[in-house]
Amino acid sequence: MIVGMSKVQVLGPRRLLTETIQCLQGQGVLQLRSLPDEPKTPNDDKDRVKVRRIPLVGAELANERSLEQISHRLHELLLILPVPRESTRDGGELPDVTSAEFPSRLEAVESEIRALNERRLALQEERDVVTRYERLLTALVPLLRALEGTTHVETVGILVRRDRPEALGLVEQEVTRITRGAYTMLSRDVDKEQTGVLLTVPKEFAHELSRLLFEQGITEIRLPERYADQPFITTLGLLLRRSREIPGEIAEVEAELLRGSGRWSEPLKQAHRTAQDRLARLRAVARCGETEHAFVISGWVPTERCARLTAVVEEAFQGRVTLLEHVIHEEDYDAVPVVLRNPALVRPFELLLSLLSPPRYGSIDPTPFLAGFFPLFFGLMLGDVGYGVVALGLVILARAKGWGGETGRKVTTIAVACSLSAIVFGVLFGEVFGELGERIGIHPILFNRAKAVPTFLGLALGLGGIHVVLGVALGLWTALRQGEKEKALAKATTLALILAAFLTILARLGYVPSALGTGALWALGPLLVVLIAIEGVLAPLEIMKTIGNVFSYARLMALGVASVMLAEVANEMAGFFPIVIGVTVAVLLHAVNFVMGCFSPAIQALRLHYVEFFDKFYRDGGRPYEPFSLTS
Amino acid sequence: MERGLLMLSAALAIGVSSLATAWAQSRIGAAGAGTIAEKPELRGTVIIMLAIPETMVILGFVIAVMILFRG
Repeated sequence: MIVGMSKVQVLGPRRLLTETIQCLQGQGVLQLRSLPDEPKTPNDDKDRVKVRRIPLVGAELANERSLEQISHRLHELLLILPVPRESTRDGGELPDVTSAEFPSRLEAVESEIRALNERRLALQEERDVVTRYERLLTALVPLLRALEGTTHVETVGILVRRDRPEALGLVEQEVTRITRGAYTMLSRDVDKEQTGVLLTVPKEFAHELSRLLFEQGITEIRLPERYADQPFITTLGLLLRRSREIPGEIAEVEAELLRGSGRWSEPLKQAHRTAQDRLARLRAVARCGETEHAFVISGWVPTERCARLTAVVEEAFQGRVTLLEHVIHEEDYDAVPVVLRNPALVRPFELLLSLLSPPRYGSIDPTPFLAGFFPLFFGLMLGDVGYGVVALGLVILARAKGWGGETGRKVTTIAVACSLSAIVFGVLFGEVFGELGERIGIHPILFNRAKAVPTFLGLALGLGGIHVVLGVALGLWTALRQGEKEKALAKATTLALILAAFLTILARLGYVPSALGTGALWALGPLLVVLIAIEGVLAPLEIMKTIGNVFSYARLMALGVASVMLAEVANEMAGFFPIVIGVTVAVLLHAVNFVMGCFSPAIQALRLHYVEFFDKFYRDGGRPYEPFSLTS
Repeated sequence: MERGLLMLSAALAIGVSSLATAWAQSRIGAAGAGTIAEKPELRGTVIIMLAIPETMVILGFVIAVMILFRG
């Protein structure tokens, strides 16, 4: 249901504007509506007082900029700080955000926290670098010992692929040529793929060696830039030592940050909230209008909250500020914010609607229909007691673990409804992991989906017909409610046409008397003429589209049959192999079918709503309700 | 012979419509992924667009079933 809204204006003397805005923010129910830039009042209407937008000037603009900066800095600090284990207030006090001493106090706290954060980032970066070299270092350490004490030489580390052992021989051959045999080459396997090699040559050959390696496409070990001026051997030793030291240093900095968080988190959060609230109030002023002596605040309030807001304003300002409630006209509907309210069991299905733009004010909230038909379609497609029970178990587990927070709760509520629907349809179709139900004595109550495919198709199309007719009927109701006579007549004619077509088909199949079918058939022509007269020559195409929409519900049957067939394949596969392998294969195939059986019906059921059902009545373009309220 | 032709017809009904759906979805899917990357608020529209060509394979399946059961 879409909650009724009221268009309100709050009027009062100019000097009470700030207090009024503060009062309205505290109540948190009014969604502000900006005054248009140019007043609509014609210039020749001299009797009307011109209301102009209140501009932010001088000090107010400076204040806005300052609050913006403060809010941004506070937000960044809060992102740096870890979640405190417990809040300690020893020394963690901040003055009011608008006070003169706040910037200097914030700067002190900021520099303390930022310094710690920068140290932590530097250490983490160093740790990442060292970790990258760790495997290499571990392999090369024994070789380093052999090179200890060597002077006037340059050591170069290279990596050679183990599947190309000839490369090492070629390198050695070239190095011998360059250095005329004055070199040391030590190698050790780093991992399954690479061999680490330490080449020590006199310093005068170092440049030529590097060029050779580059030309041969051999990977030279590039050590971190900060160690660039150090000899290779010294660097490796330093890196090894740092790899042992860094974790302790990081833990120390993090502990310090945690202590800082315990001390500063709460005061910073409070200051951030205050800054945000003040900023919102300042910006609210710029959305109000003023005359020479009075102000006017316009906005939207849920009608049910209007009386209370009026009373609060009346009491706070002793009648000096007035709240006027106006009727909302249809031309305002595009601007009115939308609040949905549904029973607790239906509310989670609003999540499925959130993928689309909210319904326009004055139209229909389709959430209750989603709550009814979505699980029905899902159950019809999955329709298996076994899969339903597994899904229900997983959903209960997810709910117990609290996965996904508030959204997770909504998703699991929808999933519970879908799982129960799958179990109910599983009983009706006599399916437990496919035809295993038959083997344990569960027989179909409705029909066997694998065998009675035409009947299943009839059921799917019948349900589709009901769903589409309901959609057209809701479209008719919306048009009538909004006084769109021509549209209402077109919807009524479409409805009559679909019903006549159904009656004709039912009479042909022998479900209704043939006389009724003949009457319906005769009515089709005149109804089509009426529809063309109202909607033009494209009306028959619309009718074809509507009939196509009904046929689209055949997917309920298609996915249902596919699901039961896959389950049967899984069961039959078990018989092809020895018992252990057979059962494993069957379980794996059932798992695949289960995942597909949960995902695909959800998408298809959603699509049937979005494309086939909503197309008949849903009017999107609603604005979300964002009341002017305190951040806390 | 007639049974074989019926089987072939059913296979063509589902096979050709599957190829058509796959081709359409590949185009829509690629464009949709790009759309969501730039405008996440359009994901609902993208899901709808992506699911639209599935009607072809569904109707192909229905035709195949009708051929097999009525043939």
